[in-house]
Amino acid sequence: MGNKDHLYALPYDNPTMVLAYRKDVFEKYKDLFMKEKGYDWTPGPNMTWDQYYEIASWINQKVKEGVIKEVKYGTGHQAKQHDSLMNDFSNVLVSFGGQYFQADHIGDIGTENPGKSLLTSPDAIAAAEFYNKLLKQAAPGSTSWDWSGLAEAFAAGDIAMAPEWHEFAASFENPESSKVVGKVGWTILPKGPKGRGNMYGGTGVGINKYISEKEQKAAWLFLIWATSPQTQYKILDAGFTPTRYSVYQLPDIQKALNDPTSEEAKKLPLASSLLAAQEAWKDGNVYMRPKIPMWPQIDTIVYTELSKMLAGRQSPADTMKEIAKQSDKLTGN
Amino acid sequence: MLQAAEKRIRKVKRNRTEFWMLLPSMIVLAAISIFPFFFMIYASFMNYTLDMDKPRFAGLDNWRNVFTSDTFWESWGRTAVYAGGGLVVQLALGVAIALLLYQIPKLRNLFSTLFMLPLFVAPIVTGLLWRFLLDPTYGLYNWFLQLLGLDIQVLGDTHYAMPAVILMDVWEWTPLITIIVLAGLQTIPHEPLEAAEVDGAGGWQKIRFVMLPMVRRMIVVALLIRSMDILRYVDTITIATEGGPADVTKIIGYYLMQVAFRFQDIGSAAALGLTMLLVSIVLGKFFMKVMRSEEA
Repeated sequence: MGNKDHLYALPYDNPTMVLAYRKDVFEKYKDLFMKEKGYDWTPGPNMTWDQYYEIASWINQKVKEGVIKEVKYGTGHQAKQHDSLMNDFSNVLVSFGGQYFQADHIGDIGTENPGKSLLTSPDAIAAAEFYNKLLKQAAPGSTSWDWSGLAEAFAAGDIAMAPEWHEFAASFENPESSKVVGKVGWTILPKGPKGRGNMYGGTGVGINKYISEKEQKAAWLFLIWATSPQTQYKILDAGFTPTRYSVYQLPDIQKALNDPTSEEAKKLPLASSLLAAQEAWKDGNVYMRPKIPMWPQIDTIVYTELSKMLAGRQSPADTMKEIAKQSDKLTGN
Repeated sequence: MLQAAEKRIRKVKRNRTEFWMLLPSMIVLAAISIFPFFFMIYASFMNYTLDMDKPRFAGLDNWRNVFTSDTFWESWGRTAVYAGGGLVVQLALGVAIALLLYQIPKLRNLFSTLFMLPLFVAPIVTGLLWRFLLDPTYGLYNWFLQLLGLDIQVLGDTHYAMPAVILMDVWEWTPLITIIVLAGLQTIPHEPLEAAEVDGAGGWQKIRFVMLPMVRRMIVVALLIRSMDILRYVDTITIATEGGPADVTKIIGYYLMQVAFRFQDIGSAAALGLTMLLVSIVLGKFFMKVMRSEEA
């Protein structure tokens, strides 16, 4: 596997951004929307970001008119000046054909030199313009929410649609923390003009090369235990997502995923969102952020400048140029 | 002659005892304060990130990076607003409340105890508390704002985020100013106040020309403590806004934390920290000078 120049880790924990939506709202007003806009609005693989925007605006309008009372806003976002904002934006960026950097395999294997920033491309600027426009329709709390704040608002029943990490399904289906139990549907995120991006928040467990050989051996034993089928099966109960393929093929898990009303599904905290997550992991759907040494700085530049854009302090085009300028300076390109 | 020599020996002996008695606290002081100080100076000249095997000498690189960074100067500007705004408001409120408590001798103890409660709250908890009160979904204050027809998300809005974090600081630290000033007020002898009354001074005149001048030193002490404290204060902002939105609450302390622990750039963080130390010293000297000029 690979060569010694790269850093490898065993996959562990893999929250993924997918679309959470209120099934009750989408069923109840389906005909009304069909009558006014002429298409089936049920979120699914065919939904585009333009439709998402239109639906969110339409719900906001109907809430204002007093027609829709189940929610307060059409869409909510994790758009605080925080890592979450970079994640939320990246989904849109990729679906518009934009990329952060030139280098290949930057998302999976990673590289030390990412090359020049590509955010000044017309695709990236179009993505920023769309994102800026979309956030004007979002719940006003969005600019103060990271993923947890957004999940709380969604669980409180305020929001009809939100790009959110699939592992929040566990808290949405928990009657103690949620008013929307049984009302939440999940699907992959909308597609853009040039593709689709579902941010993959996976992490890995590795072994520190500076520790003693004895400790390295102990760490290896831990890795084997942590990624074993038995342990991976157990973490499902706690609302985590296994990274081992075989776990998903077990009969009870298959039953739970394919029959939401089964006993097996009731026992599985993530039963409602795991299918969407699996769909999101497929080639062409998944997006993995750059694996580069200076990513903490780049990430901070990205979400700080985006936050300025959302506050109306700079235009989307200037925002992309500013991020490109600062990251090129940092990466030495 | 003999007596003088004996005296000297006694003095040396006493000094030696004092030295041994002071040694433990000197060691502690060196460990927690002097060593980190010299380490910071060393680190500020090194290319020193947490992911490298060994720091390398970098000359003035870190200092140049710090001083040419826009964020550095902007953060200092915001720190001036945060610290200046916070100090002015809590000073005015703190002195006013102290004067109020001074007027009600019987209830003074009860109210000052109640009023001091925020001081016992850890700053992190203060941030959590206020974030919860202002939460867009569950927040009590947010609910009040909505009742008034104001759909403002305080911590997510560039106009209100800074006033909000200043308010958090004021809420927590006004009581400190109050108890220091109240302690000062209680030491004022009755005679000057009575004399002022005889001369026909009204309530405000008594406060303005007798009481306030007599507690000015206390006020300066309170300001000295708070100004050095507020410069390095990051807890509430870390919890409430993380420097956002659009960087409006990124004060220098938060920026330093980001450079050190998010970017893991210890060299630049050390240089940044030394600029904070310098400003603290200048401010401290200024207030000491104000205090001395009072004495003269």
